[in-house]
Amino acid sequence: MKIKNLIIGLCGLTLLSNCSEMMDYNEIVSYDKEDIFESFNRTESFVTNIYGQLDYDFGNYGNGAMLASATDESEFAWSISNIHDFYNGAWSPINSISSTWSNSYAAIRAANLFLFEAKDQTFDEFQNNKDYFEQMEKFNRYQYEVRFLRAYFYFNLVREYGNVPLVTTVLTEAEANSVSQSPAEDVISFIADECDAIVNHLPVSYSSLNFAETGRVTRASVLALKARTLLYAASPLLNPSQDVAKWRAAATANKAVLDSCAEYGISLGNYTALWGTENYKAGEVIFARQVGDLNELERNNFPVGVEGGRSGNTPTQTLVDAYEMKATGLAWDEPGSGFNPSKPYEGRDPRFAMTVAKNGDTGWPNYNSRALETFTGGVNGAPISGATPTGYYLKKYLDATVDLRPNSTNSKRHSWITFRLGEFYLNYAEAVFQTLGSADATDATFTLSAREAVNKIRQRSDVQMPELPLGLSNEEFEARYMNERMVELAFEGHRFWDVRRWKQGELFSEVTLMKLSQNPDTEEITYTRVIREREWSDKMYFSPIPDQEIRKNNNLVQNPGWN
Amino acid sequence: MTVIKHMKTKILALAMLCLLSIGSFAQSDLISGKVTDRWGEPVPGALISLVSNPEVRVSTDAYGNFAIGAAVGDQLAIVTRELETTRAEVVDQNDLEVVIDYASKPVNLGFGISQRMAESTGSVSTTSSEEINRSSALSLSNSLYGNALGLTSMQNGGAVWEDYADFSIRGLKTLSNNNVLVLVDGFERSIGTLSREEVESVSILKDAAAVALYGFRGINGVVSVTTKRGRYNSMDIDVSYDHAFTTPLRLPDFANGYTYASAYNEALENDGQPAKYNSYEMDAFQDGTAPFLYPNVDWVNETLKDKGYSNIYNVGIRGGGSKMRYYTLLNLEGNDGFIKDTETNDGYSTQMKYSKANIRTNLDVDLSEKTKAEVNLLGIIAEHNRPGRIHGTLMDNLYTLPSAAYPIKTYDGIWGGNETWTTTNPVAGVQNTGYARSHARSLFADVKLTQDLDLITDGLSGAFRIGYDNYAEFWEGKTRGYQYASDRLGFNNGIPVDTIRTAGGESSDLSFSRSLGTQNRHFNFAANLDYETSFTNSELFTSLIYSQERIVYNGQHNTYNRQNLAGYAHYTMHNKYIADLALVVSGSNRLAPNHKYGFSPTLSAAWVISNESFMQGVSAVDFLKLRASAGMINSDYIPAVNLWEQSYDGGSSYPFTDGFNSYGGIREGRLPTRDFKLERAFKYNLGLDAVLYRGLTITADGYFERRSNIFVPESGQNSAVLGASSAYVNAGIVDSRGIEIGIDYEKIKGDLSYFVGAKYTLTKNEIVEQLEAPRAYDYLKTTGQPVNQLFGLQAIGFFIDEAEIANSPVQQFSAVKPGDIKYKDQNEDGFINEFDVVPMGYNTAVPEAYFSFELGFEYKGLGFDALFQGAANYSALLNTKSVYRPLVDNTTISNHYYDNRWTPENVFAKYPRLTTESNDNNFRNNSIWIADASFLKLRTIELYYKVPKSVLENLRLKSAKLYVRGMDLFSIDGIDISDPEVIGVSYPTSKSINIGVAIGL
Repeated sequence: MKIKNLIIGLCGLTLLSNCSEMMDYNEIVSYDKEDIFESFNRTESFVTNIYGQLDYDFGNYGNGAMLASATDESEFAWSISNIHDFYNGAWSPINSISSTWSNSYAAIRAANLFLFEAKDQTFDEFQNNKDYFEQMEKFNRYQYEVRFLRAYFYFNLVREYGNVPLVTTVLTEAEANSVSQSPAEDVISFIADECDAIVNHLPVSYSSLNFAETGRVTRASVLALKARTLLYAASPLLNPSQDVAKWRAAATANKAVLDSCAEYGISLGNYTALWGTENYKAGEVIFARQVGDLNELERNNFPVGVEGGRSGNTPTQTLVDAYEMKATGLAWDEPGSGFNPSKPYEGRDPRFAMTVAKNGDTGWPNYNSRALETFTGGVNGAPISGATPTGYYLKKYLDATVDLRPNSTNSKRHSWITFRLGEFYLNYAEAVFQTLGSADATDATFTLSAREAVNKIRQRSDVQMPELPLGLSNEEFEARYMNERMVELAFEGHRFWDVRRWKQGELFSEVTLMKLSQNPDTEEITYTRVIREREWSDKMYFSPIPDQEIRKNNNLVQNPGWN
Repeated sequence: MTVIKHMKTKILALAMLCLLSIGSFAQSDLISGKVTDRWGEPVPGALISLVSNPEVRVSTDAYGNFAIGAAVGDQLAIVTRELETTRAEVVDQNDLEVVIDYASKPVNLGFGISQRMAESTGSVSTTSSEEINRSSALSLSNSLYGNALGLTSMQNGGAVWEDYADFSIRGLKTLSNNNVLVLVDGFERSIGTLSREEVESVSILKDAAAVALYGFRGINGVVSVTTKRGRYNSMDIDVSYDHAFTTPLRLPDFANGYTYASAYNEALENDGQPAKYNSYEMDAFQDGTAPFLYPNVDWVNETLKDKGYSNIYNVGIRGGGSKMRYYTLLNLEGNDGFIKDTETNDGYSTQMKYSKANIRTNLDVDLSEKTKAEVNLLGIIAEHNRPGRIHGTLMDNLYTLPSAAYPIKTYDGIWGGNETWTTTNPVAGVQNTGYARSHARSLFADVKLTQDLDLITDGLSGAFRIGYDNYAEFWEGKTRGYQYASDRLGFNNGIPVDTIRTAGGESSDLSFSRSLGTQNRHFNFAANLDYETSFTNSELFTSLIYSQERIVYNGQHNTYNRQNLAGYAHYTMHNKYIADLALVVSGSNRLAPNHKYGFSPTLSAAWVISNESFMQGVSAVDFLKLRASAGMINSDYIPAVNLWEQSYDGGSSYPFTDGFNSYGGIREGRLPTRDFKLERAFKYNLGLDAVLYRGLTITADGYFERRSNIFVPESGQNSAVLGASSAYVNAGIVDSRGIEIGIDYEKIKGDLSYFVGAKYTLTKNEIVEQLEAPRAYDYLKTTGQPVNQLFGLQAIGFFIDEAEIANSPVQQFSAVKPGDIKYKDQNEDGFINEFDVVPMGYNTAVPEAYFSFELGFEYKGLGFDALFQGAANYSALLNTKSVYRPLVDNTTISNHYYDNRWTPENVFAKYPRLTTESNDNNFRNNSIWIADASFLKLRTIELYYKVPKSVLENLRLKSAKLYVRGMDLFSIDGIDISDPEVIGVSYPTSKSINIGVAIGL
């Protein structure tokens, strides 16, 4: 271009600045592809980012609502949160609430990109580095870690949406816009096959390796992912014909977890060890999603009326009712349970007090010098905005030593438990019960009965609930099992999915709340149970695929009922 | 010769100089003549020079008469003090009559190129210093409302030092960046801190022909400010003083304690919750006997007062000798804000105060006959003071805190505060949080050299210019905390039993902090080579212009390097047919490699019909010109830096160690733009300039613009299964069209003069393409709608009862109750959701219609003028907290909402029921909250007296003017409770009464 040459000539004449230098001036500091995959450190960072996509729920929804508040475990105190959309009729493809779809595919793309680009890297430039071989050892393991992560994200997708596109390459725009869904069954097989393929390439623990690390995928994590996936695959939602072979596969996979944990020294410990700053090291933890120092969880869940607390996820009476009487092992409303209506919280399953803060509790949180008043007119009760609608506040997962007072604010380390042994005893119990047909049955493979597996949970050191008795009918066992699962895994992100895979969505059509009123003279509390209805529809077994996705890609099919 | 160099247009001289130079032109005789304006009034002070030798110059006397040494056949150039220019040929020795008319008005295209209105082919409107100075605005930017045809200038809220108008020219034309280019003396500079007094004129450059020379930067139109320069052999000193009595315009009006408490209880009842205030407490609020326990504080009136003031002092000295000219200015401004009780601390004030000094010197030095130098310097020192709690927060407090929250101070003298509203006490925010100050300095400096290159070839000249601007702002703050407390009664069975005190916060001493605020620097270079020549009956001017700039703002990716090479030709034939061609190549460092340069050609033409012989007999038409232009202008705007590259940037981190040390993550960034193009405008303009009946001026323009290659994200088309952020693609297209009409009538007859004028601008635009995401229904598409079109639900009343709710389509935003808004089911699917929004109103940024009208008269020195300005096809979103969003999130409630709320007794209310809950059903864009923001404001009204000459002579003054002005005295609009241009939580805008005096020495 002549004129351009003229400009360059003129620039030269003016001697003011070098022309092309001026036009090329750029402050870019980002990396290109080669910068990433030809460097150990940046390749590691690329993998780190995929880990960083792992989900945890210290309040993923509006104003700090946890998914638990979309179940009968909890009611969210603030009307402003979109968590209520799950049950107030507002949930739809155009208000899909969850971001699992986009988040998972973003993580899956990163995994696919890594597996494609990093495949044959040898980092020759670094060959003379002292730690080259150690670095290579680490690097060679990344592909298996990444494959695990990809399988894990597919589990999240299949659990929520059923049939989803199964993508294992880096897609172009055109490919992404025309991809079809794979049947849920195929996605499940993919996850299980991937787990089988990588399990032996991952270490039992990282602590003894050259690079002592925590929070990475271990061999037990892989077994756990497979076991949980197969449990979902066998459950009524994905196994409508109730093919027992699927239950057997689930039982086998969960047994493998129990056996491996025994071998690797993973065993049940205290219930309260499941949260707090050191929970990622708790004896029964298989994989914890390590997060870091934070206090938002506490800020969003400490009671209002406590300085800095703004309340949020409040345990329901429905959950409280699930805590049996410790002495008898009976539900509160069963005859002979020992329940005292004037002291309704005495003698309950110890996990109740560990999970739920109630009226009159002291030292919750530690810096609060007043006893909790959750009754109407109380310091922590209605009608203050944000006061608990259920009569209770949440304790589980919260760190009582977090201080939110302006002059002594602190943050504490938190980790979200992705897999822990307790879940797999329950998974095993469910799968074995379904495979063998009774709570007490055993066979040559499954020498531990379903009932015994549940009792392991009940017998943990700081719980010590009476054992489930022998000879329960199948209906009785099923009810006791489901109750146990609700209690044990409360607020750990299971209930939302468990009730769906059991196809028992009707359970979510109401929750029970407790209204406490105090007689000002006698200071006696009156308890009034309040039923709050919620909308349930069977289409909710699977989440709606975001409306835009269906419109952008004609090959995608919306989940039933959401059209 | 048709184009007069900028330098030359500024030349003024006295006869003495001319007489001295006569000697060198022996054959010339003394030619006498008279310069008059279009009404026949004499034009004093006009400079007459010989075209063939500009050093020969004289000026007209008070009666417009002049005498110059020239020969028959010589061309004379005439320049008035207002820089109007014309030419005259000497036919004989006596009584040469020169008329300065509309065609003589200057049109400044920048880069030293100035043309007569008669010869301009572009769409340019100009406002003069006289018009600007009818306003008493503290900043030039706020003095342009309705003054310049085609400039949409909208007021902003905020403190005086932030309150600069937003400009747009020809509406919203693109989905990317609609900012106009603002120039001061040819370089891109901020005009927020420029004073009105130093400005000679402001030109609005609108069509392709007008903006072509500015390359990438002119695509959205140009506001070009020219500052005053000196005059040969004269000296004028202007001294002026303006004092403003300011008052806030439309302060919010919030409920008193009792009303708030009633509203809160009502809202709780509506929500199915128990009341917050029992009957004892309600009584206490009502009778006001326990103000410490049941307060009723009018926070707005306790924090703000209704009187502030401003002062403007100005000294301008304008003049020159025979070889140099100067303009120098000292302008001081001070403003004192609306905060009450700011002097309660020893040693400092917490008032919102602003003071600024502008010191300018513009010098023109004739180094030799052929070499001229120009030096322009402006230094600005500005300072502001505010309370330690920044005014934005303070205003937010006022828009949040209920009257019933707590008293200003407790009975024992501690600042009010409680658990819900902790440190939001605005009175404490004023009096007990210290103060903060800003010190800003700016320097605008440039030097220009012009050389006549006759030696090379006749008609050749060259110039170059270097400029350096610098701006820096420093902050210092002395802040302190305070202790707060409040008391409430504890109840037992509805009977108070004890008082409970809540306390918090800590009293602390002033702590000092300082920081560097914004800073930027701007380097400019421009050079041009001009050549002018004439043929039989035609003239040609050509110019080759090179310019480059470097602008560096704070932070990364904020350096802009640009270059521009323009070839410009201006051809005139028979003084009737005019054609301009501009070929411009622009470069920018913001653009992709191999796409650094863009080429913009523009062709324009004009036909001066009034110069045709067949028009000579038409006495009604003094001047008539048709214009047409077409051009392609490029932009270097990119929505993200280096978007053509696949970047990898910071991703999520993860702690992999026992100590939870975070490992940084890296992720794939946005996908790259593969086929990079420049955003491009095709601009077409048709215009007409006419003067009829020696006073009626009409300008009309119609335009069409297609903006294409607009960067739009491809995400609208891509499934999330892609897993990556989508690239930007040059796929957006926006069409815009509009008209601009200006009509003025001006008459001067002896002692009486008067004017009336009106301006009207209408712009329409339509998004043609933007890769919009697929929509379920056509009416949901924003493509096909104007840029920033509002969408909302159509409200069809309020639900009366549960039965109506049950029998109506399901509203899916949140559970509805009686008193909630009922919406129209647009798609009739039985559900009200996002699929039921429709386009509604206009946009909230730039009104489609902008208009003004003005009038004025003067008789024997006593004068009056007024300017009204309005806007229409303009919407507001009513979502201000407490005002339109009451009670939710612990806010208060405006009386306006309270009086217009739905209750079972008032079912035909304006606004929905009260609630304490965030109500997604009610509080979303709908026909209740999308309001018509059209307005008509009285921008200025003035009554003045100019002291008559007879008195002035005794006082040894050249001029003296006394005036009383009103600024923004009223607004007619549908918003009523706030400024229609400034809706939201904002420091109040003001209206003022000004008195002033301006004296010429």
